[in-house]
Amino acid sequence: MDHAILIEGVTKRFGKVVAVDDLDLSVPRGSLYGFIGPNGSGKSTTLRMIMHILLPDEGEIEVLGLRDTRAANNRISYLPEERGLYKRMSVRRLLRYFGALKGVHQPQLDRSIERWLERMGLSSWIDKKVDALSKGMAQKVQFVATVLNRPELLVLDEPFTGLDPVNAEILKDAVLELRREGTTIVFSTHEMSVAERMCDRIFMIFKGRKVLDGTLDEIQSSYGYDTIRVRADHGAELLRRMPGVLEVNDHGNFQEVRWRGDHQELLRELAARTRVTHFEVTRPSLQDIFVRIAAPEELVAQEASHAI
Amino acid sequence: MQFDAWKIWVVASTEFGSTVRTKWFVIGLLLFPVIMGGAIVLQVVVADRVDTKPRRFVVVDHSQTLEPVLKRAVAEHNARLSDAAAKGARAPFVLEPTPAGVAEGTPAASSLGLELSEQIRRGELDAFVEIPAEILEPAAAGAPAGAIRYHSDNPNDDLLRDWLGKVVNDEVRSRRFLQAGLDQATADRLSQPVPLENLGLLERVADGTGPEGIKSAQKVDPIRSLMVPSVLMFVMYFVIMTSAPQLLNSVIEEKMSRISEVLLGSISPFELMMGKLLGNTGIAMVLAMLYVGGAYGVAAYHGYGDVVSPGLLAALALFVFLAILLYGSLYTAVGAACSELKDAQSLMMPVMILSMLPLVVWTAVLRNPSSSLSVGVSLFPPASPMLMFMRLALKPAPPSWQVVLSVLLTTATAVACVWAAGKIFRTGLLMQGKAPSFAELARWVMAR
Repeated sequence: MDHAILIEGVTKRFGKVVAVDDLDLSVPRGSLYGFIGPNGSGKSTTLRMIMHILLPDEGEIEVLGLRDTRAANNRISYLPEERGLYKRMSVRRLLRYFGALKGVHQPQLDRSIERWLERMGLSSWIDKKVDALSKGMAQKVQFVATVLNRPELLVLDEPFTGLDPVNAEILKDAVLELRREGTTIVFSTHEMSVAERMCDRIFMIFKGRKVLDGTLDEIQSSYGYDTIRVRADHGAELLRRMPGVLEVNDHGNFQEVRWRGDHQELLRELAARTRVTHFEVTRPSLQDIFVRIAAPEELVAQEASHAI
Repeated sequence: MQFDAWKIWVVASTEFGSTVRTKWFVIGLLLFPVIMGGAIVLQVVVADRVDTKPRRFVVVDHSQTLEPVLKRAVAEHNARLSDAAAKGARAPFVLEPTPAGVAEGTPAASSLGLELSEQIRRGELDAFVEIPAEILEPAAAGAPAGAIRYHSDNPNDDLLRDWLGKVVNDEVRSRRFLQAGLDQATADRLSQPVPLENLGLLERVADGTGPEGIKSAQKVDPIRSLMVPSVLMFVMYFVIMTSAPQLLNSVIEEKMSRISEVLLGSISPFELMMGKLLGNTGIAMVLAMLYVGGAYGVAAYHGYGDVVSPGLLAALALFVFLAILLYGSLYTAVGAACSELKDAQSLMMPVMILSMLPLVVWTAVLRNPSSSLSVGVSLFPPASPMLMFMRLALKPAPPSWQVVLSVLLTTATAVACVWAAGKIFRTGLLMQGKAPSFAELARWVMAR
């Protein structure tokens, strides 16, 4: 068995809206898979179908070698995007409840709770009410609740959203550690830098269809060295006004540009008008690729007219 | 469908534990024996010591004949009080001196009435009574009799009023008899009422304690025949109506704080709902035990310890279980379909109406348990747990086929409700926003 999740020809509709359209995807065992895509593109629906919370209208989903994912539930853990905790329970009672629901029995359960809370720096909060936790702490407790059963597959829907950098780092380390121990991890994110840094493979869904799937290297290679990173005085305004520039992605201190024709020509024209401090021909960043795919329609139309 | 009994158990015990831990439940738990005990103590105390405030009153006797009689009656009444260490001691009466006579119906009589009313308002007097002039004359056939007019600002205090009515009537009756030429003794003997005994049925007994092996009928005791069945029905009703709606709150809380989907990552919707229902049944059982235990304590104190039979307790447990499955699943479904408590109101209406039915018809069932209305409503599944249970404690006892049929029908309905609620629960848990219409709910139930 070399894949943890196998999705074949899956379609899911809500009324007239097609949320996921004829999707194929294979997640290898032991991999760290990033799901990206704009809001409402079908990420959460796909994750919910993997968890068997929603059933596909068409197609098959195999998880950990089983078609009926329910049977494998204790080996899979899921952290949904919309997540809450019982406010009036103590952290210990809450984690015991969620752990027991994952089929973890005592005394391993208590040992696991203590170990994970210590790992998250929350040991002293074990007997506090959930009410008293800050948002970041609550999010870490939620994460702990999903890993108490040492899952073989961990599905996380936007796990890092809303965390401060320190807590985000703690959580990322925990995710990477789980992966080293052999857990297959699938998570969705809006932060392209996180996906770029952490994931073995990236999957992008847009309007219910798969638009990217592969390693970061594969994805970037498919776009080639078509991006020029420029740092120049008043670069953004200048670049936008120049004919021949297909697209400007303004990052503030630098701009990423796609240029029709020879890049030497762009460098010459820029140098003639302003002071250029950085000029690099590179592959597009994931962020850039994401924006190109999910850009508003008018941008696409504009691009098309330039390309003629 | 396969389920994980362990997970159902985990949910049930947590649901039970969370409720039992809440403050109101613990307070209720501790307070209940206190209230029950207090009620018993209060009954004992109250039985011995009633309100003994003297009742001061004035008689305006237009007939000019009854005042001496009343004076004597007051003296007798107060004398009986003094040697009464007896139970049920009553308040003494004080007959205040009657003001100078005024003619009935004159302005002077009205102003006297006003003056006495003012005295009552100032608290110097409790009541005044006007006796009409022609009180001794029996009214002509068809004409209204002249009434004794009792005035007070405490219309619910019947102590003095009833006593006055009795004393005046006794005196008037005996004088009327006298005028008709009958002496008091003859009149008393002739007007002796014939008692009516309310009895049960005769039974044939094997050991033949009575003549020809027939046991004579027992006197009907209203406590056994009315009180016990009514109390049992209300215990059942309160147990169901305090437990089942908690499921609505529990489900809505989980939806509002976005816990539902976290749970669905670990447990199937059906397991989650069954766990909640079973936990709630446990809570209902604890409540039933408390209430029945308390009621039993009171019954035993008054010498009715035998009225609650083990069979009745078994029926209570069975019907509580079925009722919680039935109503609990409906409330769960309503909770799952709504995102906020205020959305739940309209969806709750049908459930509320169903649960009101026993309250509407229970007196009719009590009065005539074997009428076709009683049989009909006690076989109607949402009402069966309350009404068939009450009929089990009533006479005539329901035929066993009706009991079995009601259990079967209620079970079938409960299973159907659980099934439909499971479908609504599954779909509703992930829904946010506007509450669905009944048509949409029906679609959810019919969905694959």
